[in-house]
Amino acid sequence: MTLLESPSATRAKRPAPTGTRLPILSTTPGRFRALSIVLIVAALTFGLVSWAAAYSRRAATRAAAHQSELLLVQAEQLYVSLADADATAATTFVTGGVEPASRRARYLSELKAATERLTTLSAEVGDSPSAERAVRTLAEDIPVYSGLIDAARANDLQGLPLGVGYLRQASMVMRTQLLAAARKLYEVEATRLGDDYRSGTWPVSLWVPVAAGILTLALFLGGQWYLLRRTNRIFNVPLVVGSVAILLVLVWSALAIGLQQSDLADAARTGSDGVQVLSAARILALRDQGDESLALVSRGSGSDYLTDFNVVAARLGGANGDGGLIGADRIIADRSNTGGGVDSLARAFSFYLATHAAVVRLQDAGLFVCADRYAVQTVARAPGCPPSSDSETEVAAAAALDARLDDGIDASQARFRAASARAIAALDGLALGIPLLAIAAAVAGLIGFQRRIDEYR
Amino acid sequence: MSGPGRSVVPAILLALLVALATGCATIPGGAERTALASLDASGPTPPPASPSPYTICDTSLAPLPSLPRPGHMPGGALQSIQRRGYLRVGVDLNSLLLSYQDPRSGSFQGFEIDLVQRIAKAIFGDVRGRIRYVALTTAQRTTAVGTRTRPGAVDMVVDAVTMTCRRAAARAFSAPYFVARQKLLVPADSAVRGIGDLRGKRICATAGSTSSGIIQPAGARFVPVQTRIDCLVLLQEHRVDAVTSDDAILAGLQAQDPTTKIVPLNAPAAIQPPPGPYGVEIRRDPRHRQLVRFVNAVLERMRTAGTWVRLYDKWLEPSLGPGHQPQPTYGSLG
Repeated sequence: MTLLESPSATRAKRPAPTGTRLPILSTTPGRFRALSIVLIVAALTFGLVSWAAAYSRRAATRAAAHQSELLLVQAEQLYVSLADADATAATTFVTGGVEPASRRARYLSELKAATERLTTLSAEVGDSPSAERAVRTLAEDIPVYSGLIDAARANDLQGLPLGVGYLRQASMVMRTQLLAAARKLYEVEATRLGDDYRSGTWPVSLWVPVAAGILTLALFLGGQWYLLRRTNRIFNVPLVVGSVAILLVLVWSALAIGLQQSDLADAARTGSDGVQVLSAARILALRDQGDESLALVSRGSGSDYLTDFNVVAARLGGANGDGGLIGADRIIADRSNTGGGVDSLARAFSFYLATHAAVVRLQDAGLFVCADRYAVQTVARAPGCPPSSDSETEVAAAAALDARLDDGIDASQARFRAASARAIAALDGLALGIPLLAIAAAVAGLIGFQRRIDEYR
Repeated sequence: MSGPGRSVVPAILLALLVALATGCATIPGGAERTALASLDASGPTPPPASPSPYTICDTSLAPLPSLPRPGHMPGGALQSIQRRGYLRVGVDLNSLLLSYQDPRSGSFQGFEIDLVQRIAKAIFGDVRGRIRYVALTTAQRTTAVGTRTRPGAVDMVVDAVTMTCRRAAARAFSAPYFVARQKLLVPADSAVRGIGDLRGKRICATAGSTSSGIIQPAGARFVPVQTRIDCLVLLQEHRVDAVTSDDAILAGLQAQDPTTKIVPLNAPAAIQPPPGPYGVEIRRDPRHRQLVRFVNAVLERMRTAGTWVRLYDKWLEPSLGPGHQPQPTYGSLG
């Protein structure tokens, strides 16, 4: 019967010691081998997951800092240039008589700047059809606009009221076509930046590596506990080293990603939020300036422009600089404790409104020449005009407001740059550190068990 | 191994807390929405088209039998004006030839401005510094001279106001100083000889103006604008085929563009608008009756002295051809 008892038959009759059918798990070295493979796979998977998380966050942060925000600023500047050109053109007509060379130069340079920014942006619009449409509208209608302004100028130089008609027409093209298209581009870029912020702070890219790290650490600790029970050795040095490596990756990547998220949030909350709000405020301030000029040159039939002025001013700063966008900017400034700039901004706005009210009073009284004078030329009293109640012309007050807004935009931009650079720096080293540590942990998982397996030979 | 593991748990927790706290705060788009919403300001919108039919009421009060000596006004509103030292007049400052302010010199010019100066001279004896022009918006125009119960911002409105019965019910009018006829302004090389040739074409007029009432009945398309001068811009840009308005207004447009011409409306009798007499608008209350009669006396003097024809020839004759001062009808104000 011994002949019948072949080794395979004997083994077949014996029940599997662990109750599983996998042959590798039937012996202690086999089980060690399996555990070792699990640890290696876990360590490498964890490394890959946290590396991918760190990589995607770094890519999104870099895109926000080096691309989207810059493009957004370009789109905003395009918008500002157009609004500035329009306000400047309208104001040129208020002065009457000889056209001030500086104002004409400013109009031309703003229009040129707008065209240049349009060129930059049109190369970057990507596959957004609405952005493409906006670029086309801008490219087509900027020449139409400047043609209308030139017609306005030619008629005005001859003293014909038709000049004002062309100016109104130009302004309508600006507001209904050009500014609307610029707003569309701005929207596309704002959405792009928002997307970068979202993927740069995507919670999954924090939670998945942390969960994977905790699981991997648990597996390493479990492996040691198993070895302890089987071999009665308290420490398996390679596995201890592996556990420490896993722990390092876990803590490092969680801390780095947490820091990056906090810095990127700072970049948005104290930086680009302020840039967006103040740029919008600047555009509205320019629109107000255009409204006032158009009202003045309309010689009494400009009440629509004055109404628009009030609507726009309310959105810009509320009644006296505590509401509207300036109010929103105060909330943003409080996040970085930089409220001082907002105070001077609110003061400049209130002063601007005061000069505007004085000019409107003169218009209501029919004193248009005085209104023109106090609005754009000088507040020095002219014969036949009541003395001006303000220390500066409305145009000077508008320029001061514009300068405050520009300062605020620059400061916000600087905060954005600093915070986004910190966010990128927080992830420095992870791209190399994570793979090295993960491989080290995997090698430890291999060596730690290999020694025990070798003892069975 | 559980020892070192436990000691790093607070570090991980800290990192997670930081990430969570900032994660909640990063919800992007807040500022972008605020900024974008603020930029949505919609500018002056094209006005709606609302023409209204009208009938003419051109009866005015009989003129004063003789003009008082300048500087010696008898009483009522006339004396108040004299005491104030200047006349407040509501005008439109964008109508070349009728009333217009040169933006460079600031001087006021036109047929209506000259008329106002004659009135001021009759009150004060001189003109310099005696007139304050107030450019009226469409909204201000209806109440500028005041109502029966409320005083107005100006003493009179001289702003190409047609003497319609609806207006005459609320305000007093002087005798007519001009009778306008609605006409068309077309490119000089146009073959259009009347509104009948503009069927299906685009005609520009001021929104809500009486002139716009004929456009749709004539089968043309109405392009409304806010101010008259915008119509000339649209005509020059070939975005409309014709402009319709009173001939005195069209003359002011034609004077700015020699490549246009004025042609009569030649509308079918059923829709041909009646001639529109322009009157000086004055508040309708007892204190102002004498002012109305005073202005009528000034107009009568202009007739006998030939002043009216001189002014007409200076401003309007080149565009509109010869004209004569309208015949007044005097009576009670109805």
